[in-house]
Amino acid sequence: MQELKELVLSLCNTPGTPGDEQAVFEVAKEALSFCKWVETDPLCGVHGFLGDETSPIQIMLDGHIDQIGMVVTEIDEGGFLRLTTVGGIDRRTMPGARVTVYGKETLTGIVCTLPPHISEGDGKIAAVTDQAVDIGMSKEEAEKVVSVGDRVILTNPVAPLLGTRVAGSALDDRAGCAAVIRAGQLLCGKELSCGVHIVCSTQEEVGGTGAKLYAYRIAPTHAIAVDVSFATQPGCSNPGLGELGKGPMIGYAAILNRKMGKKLEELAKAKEIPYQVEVMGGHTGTNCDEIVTERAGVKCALISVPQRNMHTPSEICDLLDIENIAKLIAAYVTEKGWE
Amino acid sequence: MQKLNLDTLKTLSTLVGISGGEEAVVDAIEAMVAPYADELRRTPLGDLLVFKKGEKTPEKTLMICAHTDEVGLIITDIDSSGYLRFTAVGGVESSVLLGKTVYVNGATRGVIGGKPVHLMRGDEREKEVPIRELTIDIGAQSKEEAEAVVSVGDYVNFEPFFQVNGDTVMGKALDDRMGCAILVDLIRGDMPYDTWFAFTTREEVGSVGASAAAYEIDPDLVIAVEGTVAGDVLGTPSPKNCTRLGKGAAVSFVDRGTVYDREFFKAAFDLARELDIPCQPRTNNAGRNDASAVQKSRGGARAAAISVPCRYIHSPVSMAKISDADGALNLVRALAGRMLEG
Repeated sequence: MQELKELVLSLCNTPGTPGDEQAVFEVAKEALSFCKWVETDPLCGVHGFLGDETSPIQIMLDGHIDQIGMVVTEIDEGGFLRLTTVGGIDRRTMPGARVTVYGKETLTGIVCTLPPHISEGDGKIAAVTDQAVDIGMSKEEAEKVVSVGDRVILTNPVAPLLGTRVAGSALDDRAGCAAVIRAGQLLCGKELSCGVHIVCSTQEEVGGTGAKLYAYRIAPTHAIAVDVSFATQPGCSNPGLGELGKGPMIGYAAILNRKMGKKLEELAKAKEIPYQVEVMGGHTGTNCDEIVTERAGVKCALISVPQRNMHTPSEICDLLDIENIAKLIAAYVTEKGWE
Repeated sequence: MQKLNLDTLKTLSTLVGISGGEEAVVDAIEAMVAPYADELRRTPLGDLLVFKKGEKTPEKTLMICAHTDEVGLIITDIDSSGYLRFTAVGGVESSVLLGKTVYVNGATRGVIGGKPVHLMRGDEREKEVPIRELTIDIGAQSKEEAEAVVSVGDYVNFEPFFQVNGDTVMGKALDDRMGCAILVDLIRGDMPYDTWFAFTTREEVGSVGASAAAYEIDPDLVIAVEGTVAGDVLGTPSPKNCTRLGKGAAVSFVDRGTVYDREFFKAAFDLARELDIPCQPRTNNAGRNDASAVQKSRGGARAAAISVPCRYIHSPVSMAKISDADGALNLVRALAGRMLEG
């Protein structure tokens, strides 16, 4: 579990907003160095291969490597950075937040807020585009180190909570990347009768570009995507939510391959891996939606890591769930789940 | 011009001392000033009183104070699932809490959660979540697991952070570790007259420590030194913005707690001009400080307040200009001399 924890922390605590994921590519590439080969592509992501390239069964394991973030749209007269989103930022998490600005230099900023002494709070939080980041510089100073288009993230590095839980920014979906990489580690050195493509794909938060392109290039017969999904938390007790620490959430949706889902359930039972079922109507809101229609179609399964506080800097996951997803995926490959 | 010691500020900013729990901060200050102090005392409320001999012994007694406490949170309930509920200690806007990392007892890491945007309905996305509806998640899976490390009544602090970039400093609790750092440097340096310094407790809940410190010292004159509101952001105009970063030390004429001595207000600007220290008036009467309690203690004290403008006080990280702090440090010393010349 220590090794997995280090993997999760190193993946999460390296920046990578949609379209600007190169820094975290390096972490994923290093983590995938056990593969037969690893390649990166700025548009697609990181792709490591294990097993038999000539097998008719080629399985793509996908986690998306991008995280939600913001992009500088203007440096205003006061030197404040104005922003828009790349991915679904929760505006409520912004006031008073520490941010990291990836300009010519890596800078710390603070999202502007007024203290209670003079705020006239109406209980509303301004839209992201109406908020501003303060880097303590005049417009002239700021323009030397920051440019329009530079990326900004809300800074809250992932670190442990009690037990096996971790919290911070970017667990969506570095937790998924960690799960597919960990699955590869479990498969490494085993005689595999299929090809296994471990993919950490780009730009899911803005539409799933990386996964779509990889699905075309790899032309897999089967794909298993690992993303995060909603767990119960205060204020969210809707039926159908997952629970943290209760194991992989095996997905069922119209676009997913029902047989793969059933097989994963069967394997979980056989291997005594705890699991939960997540049911969606048509699409899934994950890379599966992109992968499934690539070329002549790909049989897709979705396994989700239960997560609290999604799209806030305080996302929480349980490492046990990530480990169990890796075990379940490894079982699917070694037990020839496609048969 | 003496420069503020930024190592001192860093040490004090990163220590934790929520109102009523300032011991670590006060202990650190005592260790810093002890070699330079002529007398050290603590009040029953934990205030640290430091007497420093100056070049001359004045007729009157001057007290210079800064508060050691910072705003934070306090645990009010641990629910059956292990989530912690809390309320604010001092003025904390609920809008700065969601999504932040905090520490319970300065040790147990937790995060303040929020419902995923995907699951929100209607105007939930743009509405501030009130403090009573927020929870801290420390990763506990049950009440028992949480209670093994946390108790109701435990303090919760923002994540310590401190960074200097050019003339800009960002750090936790600059209100009022900025004032504390200035006082520490004054004690380390030379004062024109004998002076009492007070590092007070519980300012953020109504200057509770300052009233005890003032009773003990029985001053005729007081200077409160603060990291104060700088609201010069989000288009907030002057005078409403209170003070403006980079425009120099701020001098108060009135706030919610004190009507300051007009002669000293004017003297501060005169001295600033003489010494070429940038200086600005604190232009909004919002907020208050320890001067209010000291001014009204025993037979009363004539009051002045010199502040360092700080943006984002009462939130996890505040921001100030080092040049403003340097100016405030030198202006306080000069004003102390002028007030005691009297």
